[in-house]
Amino acid sequence: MSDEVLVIDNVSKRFGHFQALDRISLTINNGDIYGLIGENGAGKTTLMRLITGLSFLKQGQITLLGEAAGHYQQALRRTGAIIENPVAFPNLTVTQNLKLCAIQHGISEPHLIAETLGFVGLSAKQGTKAKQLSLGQRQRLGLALAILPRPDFLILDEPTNGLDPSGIIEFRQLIKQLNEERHTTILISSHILSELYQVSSRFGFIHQGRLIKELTKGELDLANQAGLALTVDHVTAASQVLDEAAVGEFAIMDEHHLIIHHSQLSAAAINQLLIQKGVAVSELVRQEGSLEQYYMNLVSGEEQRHVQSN
Amino acid sequence: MFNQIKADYYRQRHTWGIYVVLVLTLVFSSLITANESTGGIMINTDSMSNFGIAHWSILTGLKSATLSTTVLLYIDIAIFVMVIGQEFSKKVYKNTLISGTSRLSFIVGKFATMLIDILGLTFSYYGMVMLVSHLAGRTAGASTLTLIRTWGLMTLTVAFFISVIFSIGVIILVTLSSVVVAVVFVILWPFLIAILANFSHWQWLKYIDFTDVAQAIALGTLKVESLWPYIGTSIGVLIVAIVGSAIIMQRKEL
Repeated sequence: MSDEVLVIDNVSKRFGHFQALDRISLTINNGDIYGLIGENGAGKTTLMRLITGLSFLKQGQITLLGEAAGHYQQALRRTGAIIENPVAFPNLTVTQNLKLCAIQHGISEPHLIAETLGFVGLSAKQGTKAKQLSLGQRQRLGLALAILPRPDFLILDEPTNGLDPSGIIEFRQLIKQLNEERHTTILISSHILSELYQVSSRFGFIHQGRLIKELTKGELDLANQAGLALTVDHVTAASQVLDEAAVGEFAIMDEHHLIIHHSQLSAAAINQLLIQKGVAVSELVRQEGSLEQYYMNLVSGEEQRHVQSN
Repeated sequence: MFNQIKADYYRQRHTWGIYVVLVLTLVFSSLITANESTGGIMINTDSMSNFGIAHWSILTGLKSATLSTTVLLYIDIAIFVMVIGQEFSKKVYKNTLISGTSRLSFIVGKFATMLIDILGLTFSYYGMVMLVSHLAGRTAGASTLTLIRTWGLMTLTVAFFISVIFSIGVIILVTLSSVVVAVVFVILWPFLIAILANFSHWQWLKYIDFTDVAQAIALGTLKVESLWPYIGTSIGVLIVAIVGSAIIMQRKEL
């Protein structure tokens, strides 16, 4: 398989006056678990629907497993997906739904169904009708339907929706297992950022239909180093003071926020130094790095840039 | 597409609805034959009077049953709902389309499944007429070959024209994503055409009054040789409905 599993090039989507996606470009490589992050309505699901052909692509180009969107021949057969909610025939049992999926894909190996049920932890429910499953069990059935044909690429839109904490942990393990044991490349979105952080190897941040940042887990960890976060009245004056005092490595987040990554000085000493130089410090906290924090900083920075440009 | 048809039949085998439809069809057929009753929706009394003779033969039973096929249309609506309606109401079509099945294959597959179902049910419907008539000790009224020919011709004609009405139902379903609207349309189609024909006297309406063709053959007012304009119109409607549905699905947010 070539290294690029999915290439999205300059893709835009508009619903009436609403710009759902605005010139999105990204690449997902073989073996990636790509975490797509964004608020509700940011465009994550729209992007996934365009990739799977559930939404009509008018602007831009999508290449999935070497085939262009609109002319997929085999690409979708090698792709599994749960878009929005997992769907199944409610009056058929779990096994019957999987059997139906196997027939559709021309799968004749009888052991695959039992194996897939075991993999997603639904063996005990194989004779239960889909309509009688709990939300978490339905998610598992959705995953089972998506992975039954052993796809090379898996698209999961909010797959942990409705799962209890233990279900979330198990789901995370399943995703990792699929990636590590079956070498499945995965595109996943979730609003539980801590979950996404634990499974993903790369991240893409979508905000108001635009891809505002793409980075690897390593880059995210670097950007998220623990540090002393300061809220000041004038970030320029504060940075001059910190620079002159050689307090250590620091980064300006925006007009009022900066983070000191490494410093020999204590928090109290830094606070005193700034106040002595006439910089008002309204907040000073020791911050542990997190995807949530990174996301919030990114979005607030983006919104400020948007306000300034207007 | 063949995998999809196979999957549809697997699903139907595990759905009690299909067995209910079969039983309803057979019970209805048995009742009208056993009681020598003729009747359907939008059938006029002149047509029915042709069958008011003292004793029915098996051939009379077959022709009479054709006048009742409008009821068969309404029983077969359950097939429409099971085969394609549920896909849209539960959005299960997403699984099929994401698996790489093209829109055209999806629609053609669904139409083929419905047509095979309706053919099977209509065949059983007339088969039951033959069986009940035979059990009632009625005379054949024609040679065995003629009876079998009539059985086959009526089965093909009735099933084909019901499937044409369903194909229009499919395009409405795909366009509006509403099973209710599509079903109401299928139910109302014979009424709308008949009412419009009564008021307007437009001759061309007879070509799209799909429920009337088999009845006209049964009554002898339409010869098989004159069927071609009707078949041509219906094939045109089918092509427009199937290709149109596929194009709408391609462009629509699913």
